[in-house]
Amino acid sequence: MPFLKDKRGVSEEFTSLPALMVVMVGFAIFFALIAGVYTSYNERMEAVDRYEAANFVLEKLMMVDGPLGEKGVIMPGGVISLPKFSSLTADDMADIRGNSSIVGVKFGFKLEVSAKYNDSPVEKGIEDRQKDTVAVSKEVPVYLNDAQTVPGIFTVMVWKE
Amino acid sequence: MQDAVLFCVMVSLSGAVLMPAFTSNAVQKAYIEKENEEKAEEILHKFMTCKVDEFEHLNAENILGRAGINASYGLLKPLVDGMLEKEEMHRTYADLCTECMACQLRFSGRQLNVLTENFTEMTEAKLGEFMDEQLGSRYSYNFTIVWNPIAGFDFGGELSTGDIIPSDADVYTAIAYATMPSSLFTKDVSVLLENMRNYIENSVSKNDYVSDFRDGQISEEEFKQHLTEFLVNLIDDIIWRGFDNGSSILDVSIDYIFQGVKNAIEDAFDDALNMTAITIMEAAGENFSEMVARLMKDSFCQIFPVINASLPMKKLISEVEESIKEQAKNFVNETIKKRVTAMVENVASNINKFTNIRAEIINWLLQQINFCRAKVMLSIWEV
Repeated sequence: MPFLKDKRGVSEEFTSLPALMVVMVGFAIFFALIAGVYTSYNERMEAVDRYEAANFVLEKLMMVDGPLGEKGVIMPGGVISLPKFSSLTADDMADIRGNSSIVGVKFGFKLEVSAKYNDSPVEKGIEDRQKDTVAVSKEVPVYLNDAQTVPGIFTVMVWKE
Repeated sequence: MQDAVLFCVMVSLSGAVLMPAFTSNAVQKAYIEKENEEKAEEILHKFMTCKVDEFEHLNAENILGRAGINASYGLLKPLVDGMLEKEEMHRTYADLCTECMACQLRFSGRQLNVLTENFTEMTEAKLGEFMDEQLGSRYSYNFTIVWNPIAGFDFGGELSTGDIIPSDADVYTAIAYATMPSSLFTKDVSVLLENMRNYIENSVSKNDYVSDFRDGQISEEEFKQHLTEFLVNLIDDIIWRGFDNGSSILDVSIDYIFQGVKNAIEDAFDDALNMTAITIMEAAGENFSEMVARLMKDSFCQIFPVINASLPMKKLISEVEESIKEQAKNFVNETIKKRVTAMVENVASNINKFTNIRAEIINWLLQQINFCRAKVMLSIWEV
């Protein structure tokens, strides 16, 4: 009988199905792991980027000839004047932001010295800060008066406009 | 099936290779290291600029102790405090340290000036308080400030606080230079520095070996020889010969410091503090000036055993001065003059890079011999 007319069928075992299943399960686990790890990696890198941006703002503002220096807050030798800092007004903060040539972000400051010299930290321009704020601190000498220059911490907080 | 298992194994392996790249926190670690480096620099910056509200020390405190006189209470306390206590207010930490070092008279690892031992102890204690307050319990530290007018020669002053730097920890170090007190910058020092500049200017203008070498009029060997001779003569003039019979740096520094000690012994304790001296004499059964002189002699003789301790104080101080000058000369001959060769080689091989040879020579000299600045080093590491 010519084989074209042979209507008998042969049932064979589909042997590659379990193998395909193993491959699919393996792939799924692999991609789930990679996706999870990549997401956390990406978040960390974003945090580092934000920190870097905030640090750049801090370095730029701490320069003697920078916008804070023009207001007399940064004194020669990198010392921060607490009296000048405390007297910064909202208009001064707007000037500082305008003259800083930093675009796309807003920033505010906090200056702390030991409680025996000043009761509470002095904050400037952080009233409208957003939730997603990055803060960078630097240890600085703080000028209180002609007799006293004491250790303090200057913090810059940066958030998206 | 075997293919599938093999495939899974390969994928797992590639995952194992890739995963550390994502999970590693190398970037954060780099930032933490940078932050630690910046912290050391920031603390050093604060040391240079922040002021001590109140600081006091008792001159000759150790001498009183050795004489068995307790001046910390009773009727003697206000008298001794009033006469010997020195109070300093609103001085920067850097000023305090440089002033303390200027009067230490430290040689060969020991402080010769016994009158200011308490000044050294109190300054180190104050520095320790400042560093502990700034660094907290997260960090350990070693803070050292050294004043050596001749680089590498153990004469001048030193203050140190904190722990020994461990060999198995990541240590972050910041270095700065602090200016010595203006009282050291006497007329003699100004004249010496001015003479040094004039000598360099005139010699380089008169004998322009650099241009001759650049133009090919003299060979490299001749140039090196001329420059070596010039630098060796210059060092000799600065260190001990002096310019045009003027003072040398050894005359200026050692004579100045010893003169201060002589004055302290002869004048301050005999005249201005006469009342204290009499009171202490009654308590200790020994003349105060004699007691100071005896302890100074003991201190000198421990470092210079060949010196005759029975000599009068003035003569003894002159002997000590001469001995230190002699050792300084030997050190310069053995060490600094060897550095001349390296300097000359450097100039000869980079002759076209040096646009201002005078400035280069002055900078090099001030790295070897500098009366005016102290080196401040802060090393921190995480506990």
